Amino acid sequence: MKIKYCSLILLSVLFIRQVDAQENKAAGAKLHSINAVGLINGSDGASVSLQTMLGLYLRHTFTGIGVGLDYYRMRSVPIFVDLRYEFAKTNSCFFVYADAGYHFSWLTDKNRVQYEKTFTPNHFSGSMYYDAGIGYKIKLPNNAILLSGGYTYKGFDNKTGNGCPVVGPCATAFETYTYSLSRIILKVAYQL
Amino acid sequence: MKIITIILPVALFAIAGIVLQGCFKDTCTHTYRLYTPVYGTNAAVRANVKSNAPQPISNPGKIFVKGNYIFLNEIDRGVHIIDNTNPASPKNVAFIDIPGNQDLAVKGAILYADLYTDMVTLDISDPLHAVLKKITPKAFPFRRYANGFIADSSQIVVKWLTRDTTVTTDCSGVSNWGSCSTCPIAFDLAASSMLAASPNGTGGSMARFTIINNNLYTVGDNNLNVYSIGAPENPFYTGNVYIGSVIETIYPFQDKLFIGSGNGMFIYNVASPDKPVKMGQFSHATACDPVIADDKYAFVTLRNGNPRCPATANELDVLSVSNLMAPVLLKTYTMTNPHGLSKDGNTLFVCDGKDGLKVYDAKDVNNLELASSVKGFESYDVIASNKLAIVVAKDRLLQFDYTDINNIRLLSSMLMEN
Repeated sequence: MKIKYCSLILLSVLFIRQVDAQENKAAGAKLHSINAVGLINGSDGASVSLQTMLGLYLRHTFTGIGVGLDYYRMRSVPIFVDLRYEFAKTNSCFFVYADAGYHFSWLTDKNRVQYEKTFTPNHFSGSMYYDAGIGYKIKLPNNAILLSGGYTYKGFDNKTGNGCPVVGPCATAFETYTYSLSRIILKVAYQL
Repeated sequence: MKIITIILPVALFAIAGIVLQGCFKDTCTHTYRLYTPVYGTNAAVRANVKSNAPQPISNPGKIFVKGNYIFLNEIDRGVHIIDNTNPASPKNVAFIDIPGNQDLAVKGAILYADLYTDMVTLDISDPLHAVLKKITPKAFPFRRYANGFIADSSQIVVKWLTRDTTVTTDCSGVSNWGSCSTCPIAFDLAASSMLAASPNGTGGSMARFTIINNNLYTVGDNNLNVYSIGAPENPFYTGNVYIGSVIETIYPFQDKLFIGSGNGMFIYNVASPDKPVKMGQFSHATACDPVIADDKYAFVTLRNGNPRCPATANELDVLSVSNLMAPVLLKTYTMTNPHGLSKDGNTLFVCDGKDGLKVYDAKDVNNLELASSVKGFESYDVIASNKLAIVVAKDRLLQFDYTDINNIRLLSSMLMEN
């Protein structure tokens, strides 16, 4: 699973580096990638996120899909749709963005020590993932740097069992821990 | 200008990040089932330890077969009596109310069962009119509740009222030793087992009671306990032997006891019935392991998925017990999630969890041949004898005719209410 996720991210980046912006004959859309490092800040402190997105620029809008890593509290892998609107076409300008998707839990050993109950089964499930905010695009000759800040949300459930007899089903009662995590995120991204 | 174009937005975002960080908080909730005990007086509970009207089967545990009857444990509640005169049409005919029951054994017309920490002795010469003969208090002192709950010792918990509750909690993580002191559950940490009492009846491989001749052997967390049942209606304690940790199951063969534990299998000689003597052991990685044996081999299933005995292996180990002092692993067979097992002659039955029941031709234990595989249910334990295999599954009790082991035939399936 680990190798799969890392490969997915690496392939996305490599793919972007090799592909030049292409013209869509019909509508003038251009293919771009955006690769971001983010600082997440919430009530649990600061953490890091990584994102890579691939999509099409058409006039003022960007539509793409992205995947990332989010280390806040519990490590997770969000997969999302990314939408952006720029308030100018050719110069540096402000933009707004919104991401929506789902994130999958990918707990580290440290996460397990903190969030798993021992002597009982644990089942972590992801949930919807949201990210929205405003940013400023600094246009470079062929690329751009994107600075943005916004609100991001992810949630988790951990369903644990209570008791595991030698004979019979492994849990006779369940507890569910639900985490709703609201954060600020500041991102620096490089657009190819 | 260009520098301002870069610095200004960076500064703005940094300030916004600092100012706004306190505006958003994580919220976490904990949903659990609150169990509230319902007590009965000792007198009332004991007066009800007899055959009563049949109850639906919902949480099956150990199983025991005697004659035309199946005695099926309903975990923590009692024993179902199933008339199996016609295996194609078994009938749930009575229920013996025994709060806290998880184990049972039968010798002749006497049934021994646990009622929490006490042992009850019942006359089942007429299973539909079972009569309580004796209560042996504190026979199973290792029985306890989870989450630190301590029951009122002057009364007996007869059932639990449940209520789902959600509370706000901190997000820092869960307690590892039971996070809810107000939500005890009825699960007893010492899981029960079936009795494998020959020749009076047959139990399964998940047993924690067993009978050899005039002695009842039970296993607790660490010990092997001995009760004399020379006078069947009057069992009395004669002693115990320390075995090890995480003791799970016990299986008799001739004058030997094969004891499964979380990290190995032990073999004890009970030629001196009151004083079991350890002969040998086979160690394995930590796992839950029911065990059965014949005169040459022992068959042990190891499985993971149970946090009480975490393991990475899901397998069937075949051991040579020709030298009981030093059992030797002959072969390992990969399984899905094996539980109980049974053997009749050269036919080996393995309950392989979600993979159902597997039947092997075991003429050559180094080359077990899968003869039949029945899926569609999650199997826990099996008793196979006289061409009839009785399987306890998660949601049903099944019976198969294995006259032709390559084409075993389903005779009946009693669905449970769970």
